[in-house]
Amino acid sequence: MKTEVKKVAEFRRRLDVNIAIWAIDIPAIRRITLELTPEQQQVLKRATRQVVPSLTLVLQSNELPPNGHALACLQIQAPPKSKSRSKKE
Amino acid sequence: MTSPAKDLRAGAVSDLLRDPLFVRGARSMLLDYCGLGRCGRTLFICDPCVKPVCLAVEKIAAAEDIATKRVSAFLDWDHIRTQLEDGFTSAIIFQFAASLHTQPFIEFLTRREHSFHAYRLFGSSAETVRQGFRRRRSALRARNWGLIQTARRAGCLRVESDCGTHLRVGLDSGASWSNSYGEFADGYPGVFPPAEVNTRSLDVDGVLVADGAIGSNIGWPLDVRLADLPITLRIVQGKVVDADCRHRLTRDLLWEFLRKPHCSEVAEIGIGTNDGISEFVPSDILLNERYAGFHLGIGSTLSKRLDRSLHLDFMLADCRMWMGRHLAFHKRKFVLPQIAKIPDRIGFPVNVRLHDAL
Repeated sequence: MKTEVKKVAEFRRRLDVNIAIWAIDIPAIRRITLELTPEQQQVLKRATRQVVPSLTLVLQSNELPPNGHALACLQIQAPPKSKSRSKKE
Repeated sequence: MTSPAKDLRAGAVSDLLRDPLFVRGARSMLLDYCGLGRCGRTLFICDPCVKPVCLAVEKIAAAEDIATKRVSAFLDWDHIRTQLEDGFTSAIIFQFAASLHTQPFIEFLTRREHSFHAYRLFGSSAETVRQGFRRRRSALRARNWGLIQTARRAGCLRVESDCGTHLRVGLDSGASWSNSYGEFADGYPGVFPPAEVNTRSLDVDGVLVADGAIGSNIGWPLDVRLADLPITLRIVQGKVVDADCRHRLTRDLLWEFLRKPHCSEVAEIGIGTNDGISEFVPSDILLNERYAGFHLGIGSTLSKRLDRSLHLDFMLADCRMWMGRHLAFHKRKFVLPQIAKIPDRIGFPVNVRLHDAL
């Protein structure tokens, strides 16, 4: 019967060397975040009227590398608050 | 509650054979789930650490006129393959923790799919046999398909619990699902104990308070039950951004896991569907994941390979689950719309696999 100390050490060793005891078999997902250049942001701003500093692609598939399905997540940056004009009296 | 380890020590075969719950569970596994009968021969491939359980199931099989033979899972693959090819029509792997011979076994099954069927009993403790097979396979199969159908229609899942869970999950209509109820299909062994459905989503936000159990495919080293020491996870856009537990070692180990590459990402939205399981067991075995209710998996599951698949599961003891506006789970009961005809994979526009572990 392994002591808790030994079990904890074994867990840490497995974590360290990245070796599982058994494999989960669930579809693969990759998340790729692309930081957009000012030019690319400008293009998206024309289309969406929003400032989009980065674009995250979520790719998922049953096989690696993921190539089956992609979901794009747009990170929308809040537009800078426009200064309200003071009414001239 | 007897721990599986004590089960194994004290679990003399004769004791197990006198235990009506064990006998009923073993019969259900052999007859209902594996469909074994007088025709054909079944090879039991047994991890020596679960030998008493395997021996007891062997005797129960003999009483049902099911022809079996047992070999050690520690033998080299060529020896096991020679045995399999010696007139056997099915196999059950009894393992406690480590999966052995996974790849060559799957290759063997791919070649022999139409003439052979196989199953893998994860965490082969007496408790797994007692609790895991109380529900009929057809009932769990129908429930699982109903859940997948309802969830896909709803497109979102909301989970709440009295101890503080409030989680929102967006379900992508293009995402694959697993429907694991112990069916041998696609050249993969049927996974025992049954049953659960799961999918993936990165559209996950909220707080999860795991008060049921924790599980890992690298073996959680402490008592996995969390009723007295729940773990709280804060999740933003499919990533764990904060984790806490009153138990210091649990918290430390959790953060060691989370700091590994990709290990803070949500990897699994899971629903255990086996309401025959009455309680969580202290060892880190698959039975806990099948407990009826919600569980969330995180980790670096990048492929089917053991060396790139670190996974941690957090099971809730009780919760309410909404699929869209429909309250699908409440007080440990599933409430699903009646399905006129049990759907099949063919009817689904996305891939649904019938296994979830190797």
